[in-house]
Amino acid sequence: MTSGNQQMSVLRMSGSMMSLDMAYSSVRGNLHVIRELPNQDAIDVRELGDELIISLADGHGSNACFRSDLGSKMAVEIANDLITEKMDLITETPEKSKEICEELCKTIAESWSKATLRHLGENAFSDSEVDDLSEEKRKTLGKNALIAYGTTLMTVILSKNNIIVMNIGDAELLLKYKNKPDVMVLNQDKRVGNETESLALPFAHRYYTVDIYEIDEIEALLATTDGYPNSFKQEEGFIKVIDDLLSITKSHGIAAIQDNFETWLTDTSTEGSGDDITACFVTNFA
Amino acid sequence: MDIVRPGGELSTRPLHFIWIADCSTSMKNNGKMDALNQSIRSAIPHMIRVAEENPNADVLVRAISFASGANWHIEEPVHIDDFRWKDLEPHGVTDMGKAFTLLSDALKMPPMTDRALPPVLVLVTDGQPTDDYKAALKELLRQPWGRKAVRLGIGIGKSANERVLREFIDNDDLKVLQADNAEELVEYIKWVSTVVLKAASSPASQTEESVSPASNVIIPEIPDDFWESTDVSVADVW
Repeated sequence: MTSGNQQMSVLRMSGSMMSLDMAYSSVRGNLHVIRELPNQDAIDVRELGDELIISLADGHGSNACFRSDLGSKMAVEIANDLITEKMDLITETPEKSKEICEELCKTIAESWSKATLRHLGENAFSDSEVDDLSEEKRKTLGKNALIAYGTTLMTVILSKNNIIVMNIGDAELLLKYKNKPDVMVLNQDKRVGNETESLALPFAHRYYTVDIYEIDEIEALLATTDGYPNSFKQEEGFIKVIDDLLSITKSHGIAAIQDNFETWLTDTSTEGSGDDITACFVTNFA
Repeated sequence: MDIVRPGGELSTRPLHFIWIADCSTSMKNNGKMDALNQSIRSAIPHMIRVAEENPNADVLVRAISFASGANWHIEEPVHIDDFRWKDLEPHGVTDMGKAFTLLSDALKMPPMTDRALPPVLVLVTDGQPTDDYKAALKELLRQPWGRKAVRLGIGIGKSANERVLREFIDNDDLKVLQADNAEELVEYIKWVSTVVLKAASSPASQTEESVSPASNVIIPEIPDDFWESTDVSVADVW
């Protein structure tokens, strides 16, 4: 298992059934550096023999979501723990996998709620955490304390035959198809404004989406929190990322991305959105 | 090994701040027009300071004036560092609906992009609409960025129609700012130019529960000691 913030990793999996190249990183956004706030994104990656589970989360970061850095870490770990337990079932047919994953969305959302409430039970809100909140916001927290931990969550499962994407919120996914010039963008329609769906919402599993793609058709994928796409002047600039990463992998190897990913993402946040950025690039499925 | 960073051109996120100012003849009375011109002009340095605190938001300002008809008083979005206020002149009636139509067109995608921060729209009026504003307001709120914008309403004097301003704001958590004298107008303009601008320029995501369903930006409340900090002393009451 690998997880945490401001990290970078490369993986060359080469088991009997599957091999792939992967690099990922999570960096604190420029504004959070300026305001001395932590990285509120989190990522957790699990290698399970022939399968891979990648979860990334984006804690909301507004003043009412003052524990969202914890909420995002809990989310990625809980998701990957629960999916690991069901992995044998998920690798069946796409229809069956979708059914299992939709059930898992509910389990993940409920487990995250229980875990955050357990944390709250052991760590009551302090005066310093709520001092700056208006009376209205304190009332909102009183009705739903999970908001303090609010986070998005995207999980990408790479199984033998399929790529399964379970998502709640505004993380984005680029898929580069083999033999097709276009790049598919998941979640483009969720960009207007900063409002997002969240694990902190009541009945959060209802906001989850589950999508399945045949792995044989895909050349590469890039899963990322919204700080990355929001940093580009044009849509094409963001889509170009996956093509460029593919070119770099082909010309210099995945290690070159490993060596530079953290710097690239930090520079991108500084010159772009200012938000935390987490990104995971995977290619060479075989 | 020097490898070029992946992706295209980077950009900070644009934050469009739009004044929508009533220039009807009644604004001439009791120095209201002069007070509004002066208030906006004096707010500019504060806006620049707020913008400097967030280098990842590109604050772009423009203005619509409405009286007999509506037009762009400052049409091209101007970076706050280069923004200069041009005095408004009162004339005619209160065609607020025509201003909403101009606003709707400006907030469509394109010309807006989906990567912008929520715009801030500040409506300032001393009267009530003389045209059919309802259809135009409905169209404005139908636009994704019209709906997601932070919409604020400042009423000047007793004749300002609070109900219309509430319809524009369309958010129970945000009150109409009622300025009954020049001193209050200065402070409200300063508040929207600083506190609201700062809140809107944050990239922090929100859940629909942590904010009002009608807004996606948490606007701090006006503090109890709001008036104690003022150093303006204008006696005339509207």
